[in-house]
Amino acid sequence: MASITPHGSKEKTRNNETRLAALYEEYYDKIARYIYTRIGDKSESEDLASEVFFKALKSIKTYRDTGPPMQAWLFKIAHNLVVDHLRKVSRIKTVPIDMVEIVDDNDPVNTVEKKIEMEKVSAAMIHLTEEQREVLRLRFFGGLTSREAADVLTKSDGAVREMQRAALEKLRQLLDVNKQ
Amino acid sequence: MTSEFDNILDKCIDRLSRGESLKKCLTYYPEYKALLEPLLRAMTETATAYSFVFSSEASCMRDAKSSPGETATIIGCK
Repeated sequence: MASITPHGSKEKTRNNETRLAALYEEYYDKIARYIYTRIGDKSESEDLASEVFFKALKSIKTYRDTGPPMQAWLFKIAHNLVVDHLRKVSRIKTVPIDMVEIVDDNDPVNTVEKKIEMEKVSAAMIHLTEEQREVLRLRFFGGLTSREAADVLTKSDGAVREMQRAALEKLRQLLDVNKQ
Repeated sequence: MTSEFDNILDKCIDRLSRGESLKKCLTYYPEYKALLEPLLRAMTETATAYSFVFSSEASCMRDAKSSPGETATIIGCK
């Protein structure tokens, strides 16, 4: 039976730590945004996003290269942290529009327009199923591919693509209605 | 048919996520333009609505204070 030598195991862990460090740069914002769309608290989202990386770092030895891509693994950790968080606070917040930090906040007109737009999209997303919302969060805010999202949700890629289309059809109707 | 459209829509979403324009994306699938365009507009509208920036640097510094050695090294916080 083949076994991993202590040296090989350490090297693998080091390699995974390096990959995690690279993913921090690329995915911190995406994970924070994903969390924000679920808990509606910016500061808490940043803390939880950091916690995702701490948890990943602590359990890096358990990460399997043959499993889902590391970014999908991070979103699974994020998902579990959000579930724990929501259980703790025992309430689901809607996104608090007035707390959002808008990029172009030097322009008050633009800031107001962005807030209105976000409110409209948030209101429309409430009409989707939880699974559809989760697919959109992982795809649009998390930046995952449909295959990676499927790994997080333990669904087939086809099922994710189908949910994605159904969600967008619903959103299109709702957003068009709101424009009238 | 539905599955084929789902795949095309998925590819377009990937392209838009990488920064390609909606107009250019539609040129790859002219036969699906009428179906694709409204869905991709809904996608861009949704994604843009949450396009604010999180302060990863500020958070990084805060995290590094609470766990200086290990965290700062691994996540590259100064």
